[in-house]
Amino acid sequence: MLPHETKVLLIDDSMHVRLLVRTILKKLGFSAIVEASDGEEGWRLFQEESPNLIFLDQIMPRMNGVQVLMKIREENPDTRVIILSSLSSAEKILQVKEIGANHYILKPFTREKISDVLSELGWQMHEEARS
Amino acid sequence: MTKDAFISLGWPSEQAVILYVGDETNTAHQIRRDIAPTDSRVICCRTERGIRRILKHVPVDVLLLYKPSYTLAQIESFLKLRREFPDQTLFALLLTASAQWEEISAAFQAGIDDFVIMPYHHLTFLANIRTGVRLATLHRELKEKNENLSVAATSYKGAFKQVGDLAHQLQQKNQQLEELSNLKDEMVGIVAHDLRNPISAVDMYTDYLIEELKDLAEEPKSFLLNTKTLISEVLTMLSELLDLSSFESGRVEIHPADVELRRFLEPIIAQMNLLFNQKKIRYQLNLDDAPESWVFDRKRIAQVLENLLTNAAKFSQPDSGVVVSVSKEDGFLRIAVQDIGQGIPEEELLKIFQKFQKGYAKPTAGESSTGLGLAIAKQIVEQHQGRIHVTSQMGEGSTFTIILPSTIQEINHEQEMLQAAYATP
Repeated sequence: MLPHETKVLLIDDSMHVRLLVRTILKKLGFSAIVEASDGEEGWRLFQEESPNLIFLDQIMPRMNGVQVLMKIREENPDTRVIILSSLSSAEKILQVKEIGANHYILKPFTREKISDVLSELGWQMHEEARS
Repeated sequence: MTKDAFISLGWPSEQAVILYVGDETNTAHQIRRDIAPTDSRVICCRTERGIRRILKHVPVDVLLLYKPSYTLAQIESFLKLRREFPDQTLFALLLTASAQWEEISAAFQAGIDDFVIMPYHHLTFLANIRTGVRLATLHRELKEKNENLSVAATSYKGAFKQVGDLAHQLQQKNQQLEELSNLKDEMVGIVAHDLRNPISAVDMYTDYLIEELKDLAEEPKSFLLNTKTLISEVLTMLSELLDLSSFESGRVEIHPADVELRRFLEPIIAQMNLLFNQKKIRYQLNLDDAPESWVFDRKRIAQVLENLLTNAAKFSQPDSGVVVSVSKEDGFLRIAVQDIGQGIPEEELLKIFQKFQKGYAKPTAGESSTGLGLAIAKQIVEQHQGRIHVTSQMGEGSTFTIILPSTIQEINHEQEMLQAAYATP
């Protein structure tokens, strides 16, 4: 699992997705959570808050997930980015992998899925730190 | 044979018409007297104009040309009249006093069909007349048949064209239907997908509420639990709809692996314990004739068996029994799920694997069903190149049988690609 002090940014235009992810994260012990409801706001908060972990929706008004991810990667290669995707089309998800997403979660998600992905990212970071 | 019998033999049933062309000589009178016993109608004329007038109104069988009255050129121009009357099928018989070969051959060139040399024997003459009448009649009949045939051919041609047009229309309609059907599948997929997100959110909110409101009074708590149950049912239905739409658009993966049958089946049946116990249904797993293991997609076949067992539980009377037997037959794996339920009426047996089919039988304890389970089961088994079928006896129960081949092709799609792409290095 990622450390609990990890700063999280949720970027999704659905209030419910944000609220549910926030609730799940809180239950998992994370407390530093900020939210953005579109790509532009997300990009601004990224610059202001320098989060360690981002949940990023793919389809949003004012800058979609791919555009936000490209800008983030220009600045910071280390922030962990999890793509929240409603598209089960592999092509789109492979595309965001190409431009630097660390993981993906298909909607509708479950608590277990989010917890699994966070564990996996935590383990990856642990491995990277060792090597 | 009498003279009359000879004449009437092969004579047409209608009265024959003989057109005599020539002068009224003694010989000519003799000829008309000789023809008289045939009951033919004899018409006489002498000029081209006369012939033309008669041919215009009367169908003539034999044209009898009395040569001594005319020159060859005249005879020739009489015969040419036939061209003006293509409906006339007459037979031209020349009566000539000359037995000169040159003369007769010239007459043939002018267009006669036969000749009689005078003086003749009256029977030979009658035989010639009869031949002419018969040929003319046959000719006429042939013409009629030909005309009928060509009418038929024309109408066949029309019919063929109509059939062709209809086939084309059908093809177009078929294509439209296919497009509509695809559109419908696509829509079902999209709708189910778009419904699933908000309903999943409601589901999660409800989970949190249930967690947070543990100390709620019984009644509101039951409302909340009912809400959760209903949401779960809707989600099941949506995921079944999505499952089916992925199957129909060929987006489902099959990952065959060697599966140890006892270790595979026991937990699946154990999972049903609660359902079976509620209705006091006894169950039995019969692996006596089963092979140790078989190759198939563990998750997918488990899904099929869960569906069959749930159905067996749903439609069985309390205190009955369910038997699962596994055997190997002719190189195929056979898994049969047999219940002592209500049975399925014969007219439903064929439809039971179609989408949204809910049969006559009702769940014995008011359980819910989407009518998609068996359609999905069929798709899964068919993706394994296997077969699923049912036999049933009203009042005695039903047996659902899955038959799986020994080699199953792997079907890989995007999920695997994705997992590989994001796999931890």
